[in-house]
Amino acid sequence: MPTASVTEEIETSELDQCLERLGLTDAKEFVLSNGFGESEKLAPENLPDKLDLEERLEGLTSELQDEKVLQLLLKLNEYEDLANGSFRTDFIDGFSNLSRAGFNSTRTFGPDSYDLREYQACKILVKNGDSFEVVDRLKRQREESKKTATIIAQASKEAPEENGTKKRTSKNSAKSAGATQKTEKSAISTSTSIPAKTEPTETREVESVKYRDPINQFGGLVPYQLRQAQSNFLAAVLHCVKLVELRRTIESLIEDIESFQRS
Amino acid sequence: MPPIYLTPSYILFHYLHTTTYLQPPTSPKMSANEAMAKRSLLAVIADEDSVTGLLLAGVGQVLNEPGKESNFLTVVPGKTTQEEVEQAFDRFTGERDDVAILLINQHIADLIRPRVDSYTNAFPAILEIPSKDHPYDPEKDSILKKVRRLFGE
Repeated sequence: MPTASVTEEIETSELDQCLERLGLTDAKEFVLSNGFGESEKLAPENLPDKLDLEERLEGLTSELQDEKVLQLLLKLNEYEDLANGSFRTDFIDGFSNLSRAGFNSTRTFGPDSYDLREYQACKILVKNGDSFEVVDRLKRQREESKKTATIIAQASKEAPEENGTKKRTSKNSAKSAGATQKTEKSAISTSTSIPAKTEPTETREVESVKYRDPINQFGGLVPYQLRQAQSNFLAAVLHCVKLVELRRTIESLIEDIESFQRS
Repeated sequence: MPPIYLTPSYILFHYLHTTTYLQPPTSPKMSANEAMAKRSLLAVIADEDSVTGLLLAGVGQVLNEPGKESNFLTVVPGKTTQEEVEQAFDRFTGERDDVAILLINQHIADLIRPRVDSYTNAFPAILEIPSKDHPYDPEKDSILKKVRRLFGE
């Protein structure tokens, strides 16, 4: 560590410039950090000289650059593995299954069969921090419809029990009061059962409008190869999103490295 | 209905009501986040088999809204012109605000290569995908070209 006498020999302006570059002009205690969590505390009397500061700065810069290059190489490896591996094979398998489906069917599956009526996309992207997440709205809709179906089934189970108790009370009251009360209670019981029957049909109508399975546009009975093609292309879409994220990361790393090289 | 007297206090109240309650303040940061949240679709410019496959995957959308009729263009060799491809590219990347990623076949991107290479916006992102007759070629991948240029090749 240079001594105080060495620092006194350096011109103040040069040291101040170095301190300004490092952001240490107003500090009472100096902490030199390398940007990777390692730091060392320096007392004012133990400040390194200008040359040492510049060397340390260059060292930090080169270490950061090496770290960026290493990250770039790792991301590049991941990108090439994905692009040359599962991304490529998903498309190949998808096209192959699509051709087989057309061969096994009486018609081809192409633009002539597209449903051009209004419909929403089943797969959308949702921003999750810095990355995209693929959301399957059709799957979500099916899960919600299952939940509503179970709720309605439970409600319909409870409703007959309530109607049964009401009928028993109505019978008791009719015995005590007269026949008119029985008819009124039975009318109430039938009216309570009607909404339970209409709700499932209403929810089914809503489901059919919102999101539809895109394979249905090619008919009700399709070759199983078409379903295989659907799963292949679905996997391909997920890999596409992953590739886009990797490309963004690689581009930002390239920009950082180029800025280091320019400086 | 009682008559409304246009007193200064009434005019001031009406002005404050319309300016503060009917026009809530928006910060640029909020609008950028809202703009990003709107970008949720995948658009496609590809040949018949690629579009069929991606529609099967569920990325297609058809609306009756002008300017957002569909988020895919089927390129038929001999029928679809280069201008139509360029118009679709400009529509999906510039005019529409609901597209997050544009998928385009690599061989179709070669038809409009200057336009694709000069595209620098962050969103929508562009990804070149393989087709049935033109499998993935790493030599034509733009990101790998950038890396080779960086390392001086």
